[in-house]
Amino acid sequence: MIPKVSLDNIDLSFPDASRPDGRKVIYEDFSLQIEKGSFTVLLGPSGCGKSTLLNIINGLLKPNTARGIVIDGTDLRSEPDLSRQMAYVFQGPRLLRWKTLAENAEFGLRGLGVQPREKWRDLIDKYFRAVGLGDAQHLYPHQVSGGMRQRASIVRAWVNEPQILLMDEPFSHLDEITAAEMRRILTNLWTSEEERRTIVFVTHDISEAAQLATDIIMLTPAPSKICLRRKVDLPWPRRMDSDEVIAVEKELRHAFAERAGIGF
Amino acid sequence: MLNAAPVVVGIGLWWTITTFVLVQPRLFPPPQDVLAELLRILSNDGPLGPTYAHAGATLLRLLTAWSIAFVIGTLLGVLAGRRRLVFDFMANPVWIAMSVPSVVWVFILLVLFGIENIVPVSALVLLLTAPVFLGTAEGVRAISKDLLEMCDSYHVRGWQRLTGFYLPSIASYMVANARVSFAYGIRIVLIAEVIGLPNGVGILVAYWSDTLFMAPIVAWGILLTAVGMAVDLLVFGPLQRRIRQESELSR
Repeated sequence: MIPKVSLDNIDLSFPDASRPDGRKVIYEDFSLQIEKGSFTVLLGPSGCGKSTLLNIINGLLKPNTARGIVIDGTDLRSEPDLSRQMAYVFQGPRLLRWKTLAENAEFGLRGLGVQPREKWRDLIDKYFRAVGLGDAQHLYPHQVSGGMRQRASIVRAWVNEPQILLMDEPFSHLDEITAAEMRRILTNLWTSEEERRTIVFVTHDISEAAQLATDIIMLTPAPSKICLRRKVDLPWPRRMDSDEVIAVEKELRHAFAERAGIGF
Repeated sequence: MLNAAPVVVGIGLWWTITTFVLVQPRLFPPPQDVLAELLRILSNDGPLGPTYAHAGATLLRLLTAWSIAFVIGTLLGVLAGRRRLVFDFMANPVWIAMSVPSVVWVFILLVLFGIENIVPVSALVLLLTAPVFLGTAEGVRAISKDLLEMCDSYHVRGWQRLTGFYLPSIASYMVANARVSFAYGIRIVLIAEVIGLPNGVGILVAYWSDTLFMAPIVAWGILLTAVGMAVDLLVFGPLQRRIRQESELSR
């Protein structure tokens, strides 16, 4: 395996007055490798620190101690600009209401500054078309539906053509039909590219994990440990109701109950 | 119609009192005397040269000082809204600037600079920067943490962060700051001029006060109020309504 991201021996805790020792430990000597070009799903219960991991990978959050936060063989702490290779899709769209969907995408392009300016227009057109928003890119966020806003936030990330895409429960607040459509759009986009990007996707939805992942990393409640690591070698496109996906889902539920101590 | 009713009643009372009770037109001018003075001012006629030149000088000072105060107050406010240390550092000077009476500031600056344009302008800048600073800092603190995190993750910094994110985020606070500081400026620009300058509306008011003639003073008061209200109604009001509508639509 070629690790695209490697987190080595991470310790992270926060002050918490309600605990006897005054601290809540999230990670203790925690390590994780994420394979290049994989669709890695971090699966775990709420509060186990899944989103925190994305923030550590992105450099937005510094752990108390860490032997390494390594991207492509270089430590992020010595080369903070490595995080410009990453783009974030959040739980909510987090679009700026005074900018059109296209201007929001441009806002991300200008910020990360990895794409040459002369390519911006073509990239914006290309990816808005790819997610079915070709005609809606000039509308403002309040003029479109929640699903369209979230698609626009995916475009804001994707136009940067990032090497690593960090996605933090991006479909959790959408209704099931819209979420299913979003998963289809995302996997189409990802599988359509010759050299696949590395996606790190956080969810607590087991069905979603089974449908999307090439790699599943299951975490226990905090202090988090990896309790299961599993590859999912199923062909694309995948259907949520296919026997293979359902079998993976069942296995994950079983593992959750057995190893993370959470029953269903 | 309902808005105009108190004004009409007030003018009626004013006329009644100055015609039947306080019959001293020099000290208690009736409405028609004040109207005559208003027309005289508007016809560019005054005891110390053309009134438009004086009004222009006052307006120029006000606009210059207000613009400088708005820019400085907004920039410092953004900084203080993001960094607690800057806010704490600025808090005491801001309260001093706001609580020391404007007359005192004018005298201090007069001693420093002499009778110069810089005196009323810098006094106004000192006094107007403070409320703009506080309003802006409050606006920046109210920005959603989610959006700040989004900006951080996309490396949005410096000029882009200021003009593309902070300023649009606090647009409604900025209009409110502009409104309050402009109205405040109209009130204190005359005080500064009365004490320390050779021209401007303040000097005209001081002249009429020295000669115990109240009608022109009231006329200037009405004129300045009208200017303030016109700017508020035609510029700040519509701007604030538009921003509010956009913000409500996007909720």
